[in-house]
Amino acid sequence: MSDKGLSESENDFKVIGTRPIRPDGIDKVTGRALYGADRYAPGMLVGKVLRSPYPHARIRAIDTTRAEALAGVKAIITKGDFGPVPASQKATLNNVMAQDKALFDGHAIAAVAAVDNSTALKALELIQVDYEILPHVTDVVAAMADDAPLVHDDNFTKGVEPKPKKPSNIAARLEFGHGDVEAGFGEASLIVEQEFATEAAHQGYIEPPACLATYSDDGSSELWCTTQGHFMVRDTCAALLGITVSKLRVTASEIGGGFGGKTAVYLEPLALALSRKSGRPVKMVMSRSEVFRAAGPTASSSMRVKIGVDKDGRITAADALLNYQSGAFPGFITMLGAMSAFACYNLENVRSVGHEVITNRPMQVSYRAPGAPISNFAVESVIDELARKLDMDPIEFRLKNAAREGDRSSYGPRYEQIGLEKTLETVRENPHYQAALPKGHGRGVAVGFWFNFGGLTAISLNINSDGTVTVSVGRPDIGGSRASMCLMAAEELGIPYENVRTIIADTSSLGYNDTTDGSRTTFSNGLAIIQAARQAKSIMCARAAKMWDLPEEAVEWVDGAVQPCGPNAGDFPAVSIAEIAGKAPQTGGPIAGHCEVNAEGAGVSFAAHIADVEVDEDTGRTTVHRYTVVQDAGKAIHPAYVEGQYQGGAAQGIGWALNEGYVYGDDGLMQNPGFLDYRIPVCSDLPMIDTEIIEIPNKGHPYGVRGVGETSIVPPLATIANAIRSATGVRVNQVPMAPPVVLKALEES
Amino acid sequence: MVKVVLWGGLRSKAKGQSELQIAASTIREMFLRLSEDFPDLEAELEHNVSVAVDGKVYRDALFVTIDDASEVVILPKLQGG
Repeated sequence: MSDKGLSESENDFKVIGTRPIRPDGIDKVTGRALYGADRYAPGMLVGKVLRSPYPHARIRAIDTTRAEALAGVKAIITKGDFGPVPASQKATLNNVMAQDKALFDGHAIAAVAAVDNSTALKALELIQVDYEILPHVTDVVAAMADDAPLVHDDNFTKGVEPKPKKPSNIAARLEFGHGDVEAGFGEASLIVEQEFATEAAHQGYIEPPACLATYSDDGSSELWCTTQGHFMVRDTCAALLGITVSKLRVTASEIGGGFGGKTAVYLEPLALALSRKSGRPVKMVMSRSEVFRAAGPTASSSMRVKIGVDKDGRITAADALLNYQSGAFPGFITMLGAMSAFACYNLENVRSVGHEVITNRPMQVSYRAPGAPISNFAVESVIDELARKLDMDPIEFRLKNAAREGDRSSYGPRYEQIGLEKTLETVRENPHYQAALPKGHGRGVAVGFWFNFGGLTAISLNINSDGTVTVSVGRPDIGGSRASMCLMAAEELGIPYENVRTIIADTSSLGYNDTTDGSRTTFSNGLAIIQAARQAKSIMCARAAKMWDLPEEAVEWVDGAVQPCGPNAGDFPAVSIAEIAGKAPQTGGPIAGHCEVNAEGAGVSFAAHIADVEVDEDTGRTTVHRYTVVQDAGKAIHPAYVEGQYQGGAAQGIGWALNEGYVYGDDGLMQNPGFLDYRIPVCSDLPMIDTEIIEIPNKGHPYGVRGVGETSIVPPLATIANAIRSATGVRVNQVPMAPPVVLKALEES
Repeated sequence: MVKVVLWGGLRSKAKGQSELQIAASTIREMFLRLSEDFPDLEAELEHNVSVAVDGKVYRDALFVTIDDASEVVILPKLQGG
């Protein structure tokens, strides 16, 4: 069989790059799609969680006697219903069910399963918890103080030598960079150093965590849930409950938003434990208040950034101190913030130091490019100040210092082919950047970076008896990925998009798939689908060759059919995929392609954003009048969904920049756990977000794909800050830049 | 000998060194040699690192080949959102 090989030029594509209707669209607009709360089972109970009313308290005793006696209560669980668990899962267990202490407002203390909602709620009121209230800390700076209340009295900071002898709330110190930063600052003719702070933002998904668990008498169990990774849910729940992995089958529902927030378990282990104890199916759904209080936002931060330049505008040194508030347990977001902080620039002398700080807040969870928007806000604000002081165009300044292929990144590796320079050049020519600013408006720009990942991937591609194709993948579709999967299968097989259907298979149907995060799905699922399609084509070519009594190398696959090729192949009419599939029973049986791979070779991506804003100097309110995203997609498989990812990331970033933020009172309780007081942007808050797709292919993917889902949320915080600076002359160093914050900055200027 | 660069957090487990020369032809061999020379690194290499070879980042790929011309950087294990 001959093949066109791995490297296809853009001109070869027939369906890649088109914009067909999404296959899940009708179900979603008609209400037929089933989300986490949409499944029911005979005899189903309602599960509810008792949550801590204190940010920090020792749990001296839990008395469930009165609740258990209430008619209709079928099961109550506490920490004793779990474990023992491996060391690697202890924090996860502690987060979903408090162990010896309540560590944050909303921490789960117990859970109840009852015949209906009102009985379950009444039972929660009857559970008596004896708390010893402890001093708390929710602020990142306060938590780092020597005399701060300790969230965990056995936490010793990792990453410092010698190992500390005294516990603290600093979980880890991380350092990245190269060169001699002090020497670099010595070469600088201009240095800008500023401090910044950001508040925690929630992923803001509309569908709350929800699940239905059924634990059978024989130990096998089923779980239906809304998640970004049902294989992760399976393995985690199995570990927490001591279930054999093969006994637990998890099916992912449709998902009403995730954005990183559904990469952890919350209700799922509780529902399974309640079902195991009651012998009945148990359904659990979080309220919005529970979502905010207990289903992790991203980090808050306190930062200092210092950058020096020479007289020509070349950066000589860059240094960042990034203190990230990590919630009640250590995480990995600080690391990613520190690694990505200066990734847009080619720097000889660079250092970023991160401190991961534990507080009495919910465990931080990924939020779209976790950690990167935070450090980017600080770095790109200082870059903007430098360009102003140098009297340089901000795009020209960035182009002068931009990372290019072969440059050593600030986090270590040298870059392969990347698209930052092209992105910046495109911004420079973009009509938005070229347009004159109306009086009173300000314009800001910023660039952003994200790593993008591949990972464990297993897919199955079946050729049906009529020549249509079913692709089974193991990652929930959170951004229209099914359409992209269908496009790549159709492209590779040379058949119409409409002839391919992609489904999300359950955990018993495929090998392990990493979670839908890290902007990996189109890259790694696509890579696997292309390989599986090539395997299926090879089988079909072999079948046709046998029917013609030809050697396999004397046939080729062209446009969804096998045809003879070469000088001695003879003159046979091509046979279509449908004809080969129809003959499959007689030629060897069902035809399929499979791919099980650890997909490596994900390509990093860069974006540049432009914003025009106007600030009401009486109220401090900022109005965004125009916004443009330019980003490298490698290759846009379905351009409409790529644009949607760009727009969605920008919209969420604008919300974070201007309004969204956790508010904690002196009592350590969250003051705004609802969408009335935690304000995400609605359509009327935003202009049309224009997009421009750059395509600098990723050599690690057959079609050149890079991840696109996360990079777009990285630049907006700084873009808006820089636009406010342009409009008012005032630098706002605090996110969210809500009206009171901006007004205060204006008054102090 | 392959040149291996360690990120800041690992240096303390490698007696303060940020660059090492290792005789290895795969990532697995590199991990074994590093663990022999610096036992404190072993647990980190087992669970917590990604490896960049000539700019391409691998999260879990023990059998990727490396040679004397390779530039290898050991990074924290990357996760996304």
